[in-house]
Amino acid sequence: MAGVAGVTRMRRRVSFTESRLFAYALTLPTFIVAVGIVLIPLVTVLYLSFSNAQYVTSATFVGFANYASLLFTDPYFWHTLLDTIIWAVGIVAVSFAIGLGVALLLNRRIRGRGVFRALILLPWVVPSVTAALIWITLYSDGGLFDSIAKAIGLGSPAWLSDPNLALGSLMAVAIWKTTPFMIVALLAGLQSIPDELHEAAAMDGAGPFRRFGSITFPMLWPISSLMIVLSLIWRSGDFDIINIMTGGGPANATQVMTTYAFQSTTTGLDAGRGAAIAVLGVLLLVALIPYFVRRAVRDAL
Amino acid sequence: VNRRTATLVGNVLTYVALVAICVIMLLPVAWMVVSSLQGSGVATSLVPTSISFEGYVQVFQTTPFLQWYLNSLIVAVSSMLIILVMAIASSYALARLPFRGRRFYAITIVAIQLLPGIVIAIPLYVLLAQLHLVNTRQGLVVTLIVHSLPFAVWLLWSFMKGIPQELEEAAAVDGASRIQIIVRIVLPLSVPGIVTVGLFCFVRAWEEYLYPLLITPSDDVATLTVGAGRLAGPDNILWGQLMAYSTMMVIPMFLIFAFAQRYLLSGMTVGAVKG
Repeated sequence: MAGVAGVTRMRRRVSFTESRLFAYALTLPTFIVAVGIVLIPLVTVLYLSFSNAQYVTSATFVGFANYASLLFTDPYFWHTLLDTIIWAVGIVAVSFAIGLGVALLLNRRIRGRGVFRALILLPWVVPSVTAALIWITLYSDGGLFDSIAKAIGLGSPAWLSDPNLALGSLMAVAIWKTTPFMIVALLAGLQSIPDELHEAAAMDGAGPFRRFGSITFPMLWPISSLMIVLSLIWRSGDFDIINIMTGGGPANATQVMTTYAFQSTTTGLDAGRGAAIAVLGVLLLVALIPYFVRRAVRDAL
Repeated sequence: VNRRTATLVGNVLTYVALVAICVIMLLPVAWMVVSSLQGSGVATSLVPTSISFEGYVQVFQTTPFLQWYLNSLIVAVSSMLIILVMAIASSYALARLPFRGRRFYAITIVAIQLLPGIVIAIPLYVLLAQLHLVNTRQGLVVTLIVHSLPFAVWLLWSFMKGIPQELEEAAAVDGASRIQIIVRIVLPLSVPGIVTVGLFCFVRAWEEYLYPLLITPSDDVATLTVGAGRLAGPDNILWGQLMAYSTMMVIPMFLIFAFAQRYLLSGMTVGAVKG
């Protein structure tokens, strides 16, 4: 008996070592991409941010010069940082509010729910580049919004070239594009709440608002908070819509960290400065990324 | 009776609100299609007065549209296939095999997926320039793999974790090797997950703008997104051309959406997925 148990144990140990080697072999290619093409560039970007690199040319270490000039002498930096925060927080707040409202409507037992969900989801598959082209014409002189504004007596607002309007006009595009995803995620969250809870509460005489406050919202909070954090991270990295529609203009009114970093690197021929802006952009997310990673990895492992 | 009336009113209001939301969501898309069919000039109404394909003709006459379309297709398909092979291997290991460093590996993958593209794009450009891969489709494929692989592993891993292990255990008892188990049991059961991940990778590559803007700016290797950015200059009043271009660029996305919505939706709700 003892001998058999020993053999089994040995075989198990062999297969354990073997499966560990197998696991390393399987995960190696992805690991190489993660370390070789992402982590090394990340270190590079940190190094560049402390250098006076022009474009791809050799870089000399300049200490905190890039950061100091950005933080203390750059006339646009703080404005850009503020715009990035307005952009991310504004879009996420509006799309979460609309998303929650529409998800609650779609969660009612009504006919044609699938059709509505599909139609509402359509902007999600429109590439952001295409969305930018469409909205440029919508905002242009003679475009749909221009015609509507004229019809209701607002004159002809310069949606994209008035510095006071431009950021809001661009945020509308991003809200249009990203709200559908919010709706579907929140709807999935709503559908995972058992009906019995609502039925029991209704039996006890709780009205719809009471039920929302003490059942729906608390039960939806885990997915809601995850979506809010994730969306804030994604929106802080937005580039396409702004770069195509205004390129950060007029007069830097729509400049965010990504477009600023891109321009400093390319047209500004200052990769060191561009890298420093990119690094500061990530620092903005320093609280959000670990929060999401911790939650995601805890759920997954 | 009172209660039934309340439900009826509630339903009517729900429909009214949903129809309004649908109209708002669909209006820009309808505008795109209508404007693309109104010739080269400026469209001013949503109801087309006459139909003209001049905008479409202009796209082909004034831009290397077919070349860009082909470039987008080539890089999207090839990066998708490479990602799938790598993601299947990694996800299987994460979902089924115990190994040292598994937690670190998982954290790295989730964290990388969250980094803004610009942080990776600048040094990646430097790296590819040193390897003489700037302005090549191969270089762009490398960046697209970087762009979507962590996310693909994350998504496929969630799928594979959800597959019950009993069949694999039974096969192992019957003496099947690990490779046999993967090929005969795990892969067939993962098909919905693999399709979902493949579609997402294709869509993300098709839509990507920042990487091709840096890596493949020349006309012969540029993608549709780079071309779109060039057309969008402030002086372009050829709306027919702009919207015809947009319509043709969106068609593959709409086809995927129409025929594979089920997969996209399952991907969106498994774990948190790029939106």
